[in-house]
Amino acid sequence: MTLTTVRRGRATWERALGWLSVGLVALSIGMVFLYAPSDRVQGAVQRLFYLHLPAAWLAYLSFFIIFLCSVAYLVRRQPRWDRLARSAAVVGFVFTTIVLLTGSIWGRPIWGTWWTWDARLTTTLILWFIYLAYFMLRAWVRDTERAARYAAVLGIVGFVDVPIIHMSVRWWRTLHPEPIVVRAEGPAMPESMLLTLAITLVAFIVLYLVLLIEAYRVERMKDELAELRLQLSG
Amino acid sequence: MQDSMIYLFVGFFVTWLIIGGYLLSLRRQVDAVGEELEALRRERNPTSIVRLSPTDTIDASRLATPEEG
Repeated sequence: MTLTTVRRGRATWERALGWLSVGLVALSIGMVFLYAPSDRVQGAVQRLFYLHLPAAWLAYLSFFIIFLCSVAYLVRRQPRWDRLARSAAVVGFVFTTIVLLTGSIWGRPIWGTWWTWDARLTTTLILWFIYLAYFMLRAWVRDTERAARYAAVLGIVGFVDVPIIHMSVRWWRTLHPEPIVVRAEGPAMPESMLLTLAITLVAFIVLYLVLLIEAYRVERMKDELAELRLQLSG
Repeated sequence: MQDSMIYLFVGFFVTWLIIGGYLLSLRRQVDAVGEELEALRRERNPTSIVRLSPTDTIDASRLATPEEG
């Protein structure tokens, strides 16, 4: 045996964050099923709200990160900003998919349909397609610097959809309910539901960080790999 | 009510399946790209000792023993 096998490890704080997310997710699931009261009108299916809302906020957050990183990349031209934007895009795509699926599953027993071309649903689907376009653009443009530049422009333009999604329930007549948590008059739900939502939101944020850190690690290693291949071929 | 519960469980199942699957795919990518990186580093500089970052760990059971040379 001539070579030492190296196993890529993770920093202690990263492992701690991972275990924290596991604990918080377990706590939030327990609270959703055992602590939060059932909705009188919708029944048990209303508990999907505790997945749907945090996932939606994190999908918006992802696009906000992409927006900031895209601006930073176009100004500074440092690859790390592009790398972070790429990582946030993948994680954001995952959370947007969850929003669409949980919304559809929730809508079936309440609205009687899996899908309707409602303003909120349609603008969220557009967000999902913007993410998809972002990946396709990167895959099609061969030159990495040019791909990063084009993707940054799409990341900035695509962010426009986020405030439109948020305002869609006010601007158009929709089937989707108006916000019940973030509103001028204060949240329109009992404290036990709010506490459950708060815990679930914290669990999702920690989980989001774990996924973002891991996605960033993958992107950094892929960049390193591409650079090394270039060195060896040249 | 019974139907409502089915939708609730399907929603939770789908969500955690997606998140779990994505996390697993990330871990696999880290391992696969990491292995490829190490191979290319060795190819670039065959006599060099593998560089370790402060967060890397060595699997002690895989180290060469004196008998093996």
